[in-house]
Amino acid sequence: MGEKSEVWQGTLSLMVLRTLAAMGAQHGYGIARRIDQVSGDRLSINHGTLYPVLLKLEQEGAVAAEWGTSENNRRARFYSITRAGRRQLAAEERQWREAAEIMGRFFALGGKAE
Amino acid sequence: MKFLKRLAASVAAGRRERETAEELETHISLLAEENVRRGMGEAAAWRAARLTFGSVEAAREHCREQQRLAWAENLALDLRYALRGFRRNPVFTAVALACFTLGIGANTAVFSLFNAVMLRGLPVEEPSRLVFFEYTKGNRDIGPMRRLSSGYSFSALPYCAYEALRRAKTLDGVFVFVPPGVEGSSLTVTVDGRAAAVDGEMVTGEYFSALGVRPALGRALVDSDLRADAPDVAVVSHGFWTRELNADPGAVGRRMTINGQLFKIAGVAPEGFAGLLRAKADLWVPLRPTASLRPWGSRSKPAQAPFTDNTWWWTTIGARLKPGVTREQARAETEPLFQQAITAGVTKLPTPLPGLELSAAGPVFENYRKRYALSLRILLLTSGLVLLIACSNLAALMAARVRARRKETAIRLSIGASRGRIAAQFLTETLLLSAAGGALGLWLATWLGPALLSLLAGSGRETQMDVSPDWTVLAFTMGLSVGTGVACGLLPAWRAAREDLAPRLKPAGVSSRWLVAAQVALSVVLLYGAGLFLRTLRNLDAQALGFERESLLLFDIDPERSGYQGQAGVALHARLLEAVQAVPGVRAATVSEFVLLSGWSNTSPSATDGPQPKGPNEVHYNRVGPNFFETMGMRLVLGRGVTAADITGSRPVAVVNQKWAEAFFPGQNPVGHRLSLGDERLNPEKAYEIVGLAADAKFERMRETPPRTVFLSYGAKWDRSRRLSYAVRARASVLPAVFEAVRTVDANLPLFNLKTQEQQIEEALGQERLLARVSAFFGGLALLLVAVGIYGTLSFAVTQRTAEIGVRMALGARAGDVVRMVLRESFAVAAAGLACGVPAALGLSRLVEASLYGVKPHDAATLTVVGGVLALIATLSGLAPASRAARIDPLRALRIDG
Repeated sequence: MGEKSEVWQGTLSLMVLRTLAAMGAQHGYGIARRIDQVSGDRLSINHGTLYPVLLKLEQEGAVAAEWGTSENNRRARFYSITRAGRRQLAAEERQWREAAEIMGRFFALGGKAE
Repeated sequence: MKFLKRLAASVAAGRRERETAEELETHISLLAEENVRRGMGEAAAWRAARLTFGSVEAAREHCREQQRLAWAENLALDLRYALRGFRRNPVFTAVALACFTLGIGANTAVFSLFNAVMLRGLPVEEPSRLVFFEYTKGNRDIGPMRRLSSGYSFSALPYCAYEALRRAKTLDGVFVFVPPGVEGSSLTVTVDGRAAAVDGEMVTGEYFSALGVRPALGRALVDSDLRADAPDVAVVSHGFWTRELNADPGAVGRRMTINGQLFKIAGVAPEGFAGLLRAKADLWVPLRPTASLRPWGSRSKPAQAPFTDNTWWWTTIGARLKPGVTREQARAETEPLFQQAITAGVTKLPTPLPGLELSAAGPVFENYRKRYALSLRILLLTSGLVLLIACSNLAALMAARVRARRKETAIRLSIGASRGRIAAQFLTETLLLSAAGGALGLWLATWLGPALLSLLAGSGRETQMDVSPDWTVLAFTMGLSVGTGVACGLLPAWRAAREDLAPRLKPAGVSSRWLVAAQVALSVVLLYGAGLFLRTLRNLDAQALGFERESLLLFDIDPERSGYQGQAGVALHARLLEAVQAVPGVRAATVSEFVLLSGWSNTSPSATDGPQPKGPNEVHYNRVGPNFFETMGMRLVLGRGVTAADITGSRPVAVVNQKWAEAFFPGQNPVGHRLSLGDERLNPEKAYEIVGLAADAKFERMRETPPRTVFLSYGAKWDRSRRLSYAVRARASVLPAVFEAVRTVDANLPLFNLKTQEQQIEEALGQERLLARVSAFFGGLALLLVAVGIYGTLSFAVTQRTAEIGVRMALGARAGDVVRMVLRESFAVAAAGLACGVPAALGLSRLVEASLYGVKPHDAATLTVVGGVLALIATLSGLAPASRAARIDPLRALRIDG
């Protein structure tokens, strides 16, 4: 296992949206575990940083939240992605792919960094 | 709306914070549980969980911040952004602010007047349970019943009605309140040798208790004060106590004379309470006939007659309803009591028998409210229309601003601002402007309100109503500010939010053209109304009155209040007249009971030595002195006027007017016949010999057609030692010499109700003047706004069509063609406005028909003038954009749009 990557500003909300889009309604713990899993534990996220992001997404109307019961019978807040959230996700995904493709072309110009 | 969401969010924030804390705890315990499942020890599992989670405190703090950011930060940002925008566009800001301030200020001023007259409660306990009684009758006429005054006609009931109503089970306290004289300042009060003329009320024992007015000092008047053997006591107002008694804490028990009669002060009324009649009473005395104080200043003989004779209708009655009793329930119980009482012992009754009506007690006497209600509603409507015009102008202005900032909006959208945020930004700006305009408008209204009141009340003698803003007015203004802000800002904000990223080319201002057409339509209504009211005022003011109004000085003198009794008073009036007539510069002088056009008169049935006329025999009468017709400039058709010899002689004489003669002696010469008042048949004991026939003249009010009038000599049969109004035909500069002449006869005689006949007429026309001036002012304001609207819309259209106009000119259109093209558009807008406005104006004018005089609601001349004025405005305000269009250089215009 190499060094963990820092999470770039703004990308965490994208990861949250993507997670919710893929898995449906989830509580905070579930989202955190999923992000850890998908990134192969290569991201250093404090789970606590997830909550301000969820709050922000909720205020923007990208996610909706309601109280429910978790699989092991705990009271938990379940988040789900809204239609506005899906639109935002699609837009940002397109931008990311575009940016990645552009950067990819630059790196494909040949030669190695080191 | 964003703003409301923010507000709700801040309320919910506390709950949300607790929930977040719970959420974080759950998260950590779930992590720890998983670590335990993986085989960690309990303590290690928790430690690892906390490590994975990071700082709980930091997470909570960030959540709190996010919460606050969401609304406070956005609002602060919007405000800062708005203020910066205003600084960059001072002209836009000034115009918008002026529109809001004028619109809201005018409405607040009118509303505060409306509030003072119509809405404010009396300063008493639970004013909603107070009622006043009136008799119901299709017209003012109560036939055979006699009245002490015509002033508060429907409220004048016989005294027996009061006694009957006291038996009602639905009422808690019943009381009578009447003035001690027919005009203002009817009491001369002397404390420590200083005399003052004040207003007062004569009241019964339950007056203070039923109103719930508790004295600030001493006691209120009670039933036992009305007994014949009770000592004379009075309650004074808080204002009188401060002014005349230097706020003496030992005032109770002090002596004073009221119209020469000794009274003891029983108590001091609480601050702010000034009675029910005109809200300016300084004294309350028990209602019982005494030598110097009688209800309405009556001279009935015996003094008890108005209290015992049911044909005298003069009592104004109020009551407090029992808790839970409705006015209708109380009416149902009291009407039979009333009808039973008024029929007892009376042979001739008015038909149909009057019923009883209960009206809510207001801040000023109900009659005032009824008199002013229509005018005030018209004014509210008028100022509302002005506000509508201002709003539509502002909406157009804001929409233009949205278009001007299209590029900026596009940038903000492209860097990720949500459309809601853009709309909120525009709305914040408008609301900020409207709130500032509301505050300035409120300030403006504190100046305009008293100005409106003085327009309404003439020289301000009438009532001293409080028009300063109270909570109702404040709420109204705040509602208006927010309402106009939203109304003007919502459409532009919505447009801004829909703005496309790529600026489109769109034919501009279709909707703003509609707005301007609507403005034209509204101003047609306003201007037409203003025209009607101006013509009404002019018609009333310029009409022939039947006497000469210029250079006529009026004042009252009351010998009785200075100690003259009976014939001594009559003689004093004669001496005073002689002295006044001798003053250089005085062309003529006379006395009469009533000043003409003061709203006061006497009415009575009349009988003659000839056959009785068919139909009503009610006449108006005035008692006059020598030289009355010469001084007033009234024409005598036949015979002579009243002379000094008639006053001192034993044979009373009368002069009748033509209306009277037509009714009683049609086609004959009435001179030499006899008439009497108050009876159905000629009463030889009280008969007057008719010595003259006068041309018809107005008597009581400006709007009346001259009534049948009888002028009686004041002396012989009727000891006029009381108040008489002096009329002196002289320039105002002679007044000091007139005063001096009065002083040489008796230095202690106070002159009161000093004014000119012109001022009296001005007072009588208070409402008409208010309506005419204010609606003219609003009409002018509307014109200004319309001019700005047309100018703005056309200027914008010309700018947008620069290229098109350039092409036309390049193809050979001349400057004249271009000017015509732009002006045609201006006319099209004006014509559309006129087409909607004219039917609206004609429809609405029918509502104000009762306020008009000498002009029909459908007045072609006024309408033509209004149309002409608007056409002129359309031309003038279109001219500048048109000439700019004509100056367009085709080459440059084409290059710009390239």
